[in-house]
Amino acid sequence: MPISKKVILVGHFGVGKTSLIKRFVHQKFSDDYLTTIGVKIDKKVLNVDSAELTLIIWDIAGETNQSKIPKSYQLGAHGVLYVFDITRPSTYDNLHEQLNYLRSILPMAPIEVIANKKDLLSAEEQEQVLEGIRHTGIHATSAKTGENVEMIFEKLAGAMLA
Amino acid sequence: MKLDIDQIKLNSFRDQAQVTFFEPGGALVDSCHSLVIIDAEESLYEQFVFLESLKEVFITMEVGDEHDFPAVEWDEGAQGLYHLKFKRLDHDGQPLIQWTMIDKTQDYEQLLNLQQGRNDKAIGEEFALIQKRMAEVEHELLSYQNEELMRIQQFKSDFFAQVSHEMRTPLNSISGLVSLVLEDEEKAEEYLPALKATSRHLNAIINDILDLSKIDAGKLSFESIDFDLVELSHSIIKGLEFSALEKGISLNLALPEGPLLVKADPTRLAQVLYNLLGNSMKFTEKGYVSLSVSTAASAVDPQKLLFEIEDTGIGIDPDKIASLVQPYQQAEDKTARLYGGTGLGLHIALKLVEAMGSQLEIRSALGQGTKMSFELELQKGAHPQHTEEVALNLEGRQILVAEDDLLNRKIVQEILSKAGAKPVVVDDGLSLEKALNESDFELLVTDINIPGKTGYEVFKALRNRGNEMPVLFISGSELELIKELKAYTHWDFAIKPLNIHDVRKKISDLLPKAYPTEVNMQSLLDMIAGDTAFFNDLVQTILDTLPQEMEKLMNSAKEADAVACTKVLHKIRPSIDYMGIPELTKERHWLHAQAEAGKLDNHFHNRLADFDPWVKQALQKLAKELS
Repeated sequence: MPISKKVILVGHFGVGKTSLIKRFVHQKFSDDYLTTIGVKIDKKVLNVDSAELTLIIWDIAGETNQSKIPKSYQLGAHGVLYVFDITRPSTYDNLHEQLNYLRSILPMAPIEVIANKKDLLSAEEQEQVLEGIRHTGIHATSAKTGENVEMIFEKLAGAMLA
Repeated sequence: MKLDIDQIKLNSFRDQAQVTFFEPGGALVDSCHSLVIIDAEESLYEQFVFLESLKEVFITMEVGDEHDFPAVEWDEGAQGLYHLKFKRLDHDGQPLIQWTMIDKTQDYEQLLNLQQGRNDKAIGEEFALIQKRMAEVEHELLSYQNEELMRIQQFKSDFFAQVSHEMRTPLNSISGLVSLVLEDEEKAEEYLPALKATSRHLNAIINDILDLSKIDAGKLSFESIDFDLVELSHSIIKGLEFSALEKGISLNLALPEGPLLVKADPTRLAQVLYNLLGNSMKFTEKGYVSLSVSTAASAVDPQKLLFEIEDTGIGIDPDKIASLVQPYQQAEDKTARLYGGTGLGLHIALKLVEAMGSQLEIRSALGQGTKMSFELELQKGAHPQHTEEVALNLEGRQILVAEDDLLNRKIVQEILSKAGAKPVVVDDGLSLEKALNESDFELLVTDINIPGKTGYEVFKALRNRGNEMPVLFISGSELELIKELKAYTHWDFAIKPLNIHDVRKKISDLLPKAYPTEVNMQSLLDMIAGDTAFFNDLVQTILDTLPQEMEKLMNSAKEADAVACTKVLHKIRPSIDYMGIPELTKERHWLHAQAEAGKLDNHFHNRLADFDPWVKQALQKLAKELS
C-alpha cells in the first residue's frame, strides 16, 4: 500500500523554499524571486528502502516568526524542512527559537535544517557562518546548482519512515 | 418588481464558492461543484492531494472542530487562490466534514504585490545593512593597516637614525685618517692599520644590516661544508682574545676531546658564536665569558651539539629578555649610550639559530650574568680540505691597476708587488684608457666603478677591439653586470673588502699559463701492442674527429647548454687521454665535472677558452708526430 507523508518547508521569506521544491520536483531553477502566497502544494514519489513514498510538500509562505503562520498549515505534518539563507544573518539569527517552537507543535516530526544558497559563498565563508550558528547537522544546499537538494529530502524521508 | 436581496447575493457569489460534504473516510456525500467537479465514485483523498495530506487530521477531528486555510495556491481541478475551511459536523448521527472553498483569485495580484513589496523591501534593507557593516569592517581594517604602516615608517626612521649614527663614527674616522694620509703620504704606513680596523668595523655594521635584510626577505642560504668545530671554536676565541685582554676578563673555552668533524655552514655558525660572544664581552666588565660545546653521544649521526655562552656581565631583567631579541633593541635605552652598538647582533644570531632549526634560550638575572644556549643537530663531517696557498709569480708581468680607493689600491699593489710585479697604477677612467692605449698589458685589475668611466665600459671597448686581456673587477657587491659579462671570457671579480688569498687565486687563474703540449703516445702504442698501422689509423681518427667535437663543445658552451657540454666532454675523453698530456687530461676532467654539475660560470668559460687553443696546439703536435 502506497504511503504518503506531509512535509512542510518553513523559514523566513526569500530563503529559497519554493526554489528548493522546484529543483527537487521539477529539476528547474530561476533566479527571479516570486513570493509565495499562503501555501502551495506539490508532490513527488520517492523510493525509500524499496518502498514507494509520496511526499506531499507544503510550501508555506515565509515568515520571520513561525508563530505568525496559521497553525492549520502545520497540522498533520510528518516532517519539517527549516530553510535559511546562508548569506542573510536575519534568516538564522532566531534559528534556535524557531526550531523550539516547531518542536513544541510537532513533537513527533523530524526536522532537518537547511542552509540554502551555498553557491553564493566560498567553502571557507560557509564554514565560518555554520560555526557561528552553533547547531549541529545543518546541511548547506544550493537550489541553483542542485547540490545536496535530493539528499536532504531523501534524508528527511528516511527519518519519517524510521 | 420585487427586490429579493438574498437571491441577488446568492447570484453574485454562486460561482465564487463551493460547499462539499464528505465522510472523514473520503466518500463524497454532496457538493455544488461550482468550482471543482468532484467524482462521487472516487475517494476525495484520491482526487485531491491537498485533502490526502490532511487525511489523518480529518479522521481525528471532533464535532465542531474547524480548520481554516486562508490562502491556498490551488492547482487541482481548478487553478487559483482559494480560501479553504473545514468543519466537523454530525448529521443525524453520520460524521461529516463540511468543506467550504472560496475563490480569492481576483485578489491574488494585489496580495502578491503587497507581499512581494514588503519582502523585497525587507531583503533590500538587510543587504544594505550587511553592506554597511562590511564597509565599517573594511574601514577598521584600513585604519589598522594605516596604523601598521605608520608603525613600520616609525620603525624605519628609528632604524635609519640608529644605523646612521653607528656608521657615522667609523666613517668620520676613515675620512680623518685619509686626510692625514693625503697630507703626508709618508705616514700612510702608520695610519693604515687604524684605517683597516675602522673599515673592518664599518664593514661589520654594513654586513649586519645586509644579513638582517636577507633574513627578513627569507633569502638566507646555508652551505654544507666539512669542518672541524674544535678548530673553528679555537679560531673564534683567538679572534676575541685581544679584546678580552684589554678589558681584563677571562675568555674560557670548553670543548670535547680531539677534532669534532661536522658538515654545516662554518661561516654562519661562526657568525652566531661571534655575535653571542661579542655581545657577552660587551656587557662584561669583570669575571669571564665562556664558550662551551658539548655532545651527548659522539657515535650518533646526526649528532646533537649543545652550545653554551656564559658571562658574568651586567645581566638582563628577565622581563626584558623577550624584547631584547627584537632588532635594534637593547634592554635599556641607556645601554646603547653606555655600550654602543646597533643591537642587531643578538637578533641576527637568534634568527640564524632559528634558520638552523633550533631556538636560542636566554637565562639571565640583573647583576648575575647571562647564559645563552642552543642545540644543533649536525651531520658528521669528513676531514676538511684546506685550500692550498696559491704560488703567484708575476715577475716581469705587465699589469695595470685602476682603483680610486686608496685602501684597496694599497692592498692590490701589495699583492702584486709581493708576487714580483711592478704594476702601473691609475685612479680614474680617463687615465685607465690612456694607459691601455699607450702600452700592452697582460692583466688589468680595475674597480667596476672607476671615476670618469666604468670598468665595464673600458672592458667592453677592449673586447670590441679584439683585446682578450684578462680583467679582474673589484666590486662592492655581487656584480649586477654578470648577465652582460657572460658573453665574454677571461674575466673575474673580487668583492670588497678584498680577501688577499681570493685575489691571488683569481689573478693566478686569469693569467695565461704556459700549457704543455708535448704529446706522448707511448701508452697508446703499448695498448695496441706496437701495431703501427692501427696506431696511425687511430691518430688520424683523433685528428679528424676532435676538432669537430671541440667546435660542438664551444657552441654548446656559448648556448649555456650544460647537458650538451657534458656529453661532448665525456665523448672526447679517449682522444684527450691518448695524447698523453696529464695537464690536458686533468683540465678535461675539471671541465667535465663542472658541466655535469651545471656550473657553466665565468670560471668554466675562462678555462674552456684556454682549453680550446690548448687542444688545437696539441693536435698540431700530434699531426707532426704522425708525419
